[in-house]
Amino acid sequence: MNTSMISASVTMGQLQRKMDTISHNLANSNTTGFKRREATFSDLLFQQVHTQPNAQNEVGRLTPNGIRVGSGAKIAETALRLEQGPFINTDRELDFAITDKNHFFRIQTMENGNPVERLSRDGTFYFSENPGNPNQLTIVTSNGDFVLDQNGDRITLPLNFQSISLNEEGQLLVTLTDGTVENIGEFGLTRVLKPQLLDSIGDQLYRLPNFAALGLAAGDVLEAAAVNGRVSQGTLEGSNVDLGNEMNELMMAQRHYQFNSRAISMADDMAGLVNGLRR
Amino acid sequence: MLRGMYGAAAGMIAQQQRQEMLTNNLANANTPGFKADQASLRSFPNMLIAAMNTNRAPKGQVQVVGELVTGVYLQERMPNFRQGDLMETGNNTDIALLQGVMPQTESGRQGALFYTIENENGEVRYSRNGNFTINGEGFITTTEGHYILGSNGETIQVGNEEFRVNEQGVIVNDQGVQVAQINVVYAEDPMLLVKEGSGFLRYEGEGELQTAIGNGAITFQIQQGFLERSNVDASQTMTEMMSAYRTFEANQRILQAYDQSLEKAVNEIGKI
Repeated sequence: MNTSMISASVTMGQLQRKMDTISHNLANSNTTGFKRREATFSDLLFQQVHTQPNAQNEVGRLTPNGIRVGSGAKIAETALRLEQGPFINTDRELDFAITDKNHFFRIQTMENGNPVERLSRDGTFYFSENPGNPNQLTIVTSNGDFVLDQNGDRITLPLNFQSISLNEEGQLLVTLTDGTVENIGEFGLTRVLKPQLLDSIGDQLYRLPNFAALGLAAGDVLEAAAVNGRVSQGTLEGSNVDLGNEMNELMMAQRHYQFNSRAISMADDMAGLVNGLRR
Repeated sequence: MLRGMYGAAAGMIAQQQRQEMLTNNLANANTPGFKADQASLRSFPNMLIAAMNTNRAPKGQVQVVGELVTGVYLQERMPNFRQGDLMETGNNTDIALLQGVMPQTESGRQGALFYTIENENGEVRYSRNGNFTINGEGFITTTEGHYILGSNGETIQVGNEEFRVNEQGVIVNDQGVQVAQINVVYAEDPMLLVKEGSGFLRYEGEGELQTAIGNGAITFQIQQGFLERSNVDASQTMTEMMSAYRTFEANQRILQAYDQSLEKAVNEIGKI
């Protein structure tokens, strides 16, 4: 059996995954706060084939006896790359950008009817009526998930507000219609020390794994961070996808795919020649 | 029996194995730190052919006809340890190893440098794949979770991805504390390294490879934020594949020619 067909087709399947990753990045090149993923390759297992049992018959060999037959390449990881995206100035008072790498907003979303905490870099926020108190508003994401403050509570503000601003200490200040200023707390920020543990679950949210199952404590991975100049109002963080770089990677992956398919067709032609031996 | 038939068949097998090797090289053209294999083909040992039952030779002696080679086989697949190109990625966990001056070896072949990695059985393996990651406990590992070893043979704990590596491989974590130095070992005869997959190389020589750190005859540079690309040359590999294919085809034609001769022998000799 000609193993080149197998190794080339396995590699093509893996390259398809890489192209999937790239196209996901490209599709999100305009998504606020999106972080790209990068697929890297690793070689697959090598099989030791013993050709000549007696080493003394193999004159002039440089390598240890036998030949090692490789079986293609696979995707080793799709690493989350958290470098800062560009800032987009919107002057909208509910647009916030995190200006420090590895920091995330704490977001409360519903999963199976239970409130759970997730992380996000998307700072496009809106007001929504507080379901617990109709005289208050809350700050929510574009999906209606609640934005949490430093204590893990929903951020609420009175209905009769006029404007909202973020001061240098990171406090959210609300100016009411009667001119009084009220401090409604701070955004809850989490610093993720091991970003590769984050799970993308869509809607710009990241989920954290079960730490106990990994033998870790939450403190090994997460760290509460003060806002303290890390959030800027009236700006959004653009996607950190570099179109040029992604297109380059896409082209290379596609060429690599072609090379492998060429190898398959050559292996097929060779099989045809074997069949043609007996006419 | 027609002896050349086996030679032609052996040629087909050898070229097919070469094709398999080239396909694997091509498949790994995007694998960081991969070293392309090169095939060496070797003819089977010569046979001395003697004529028997002839009256030309004096009694008690045989008449030697000549030597015959009955084919070829793929003797070995030698990795080419030439330095791969460096590609900038900007990721802190991509650490490329750039070879500098290497000492002269007795064989005249150049030695090579490697990182040391601990596999799941606690054995030391070597690799050039500098595509690392930080695991949950904060250790530097390969993408498959195997620990990278420092110059003292210990695993390296940096805590998070915000670490710095200088050109000698000294790692400083985000608190500014010097954590460890990445071990770099020197293989005088890299041909004794056997590929195991996942970028691993196993040393088949005596003992373990010695560190290159502090060895005045060896210079190297460690580049953080760069990856060493595969040293597979796609165009060269395609050319070799074409030549392997055509050699395979030529051998097949020879085999067909022998088949035709046999057909004549079977059907036409003795036909009335």
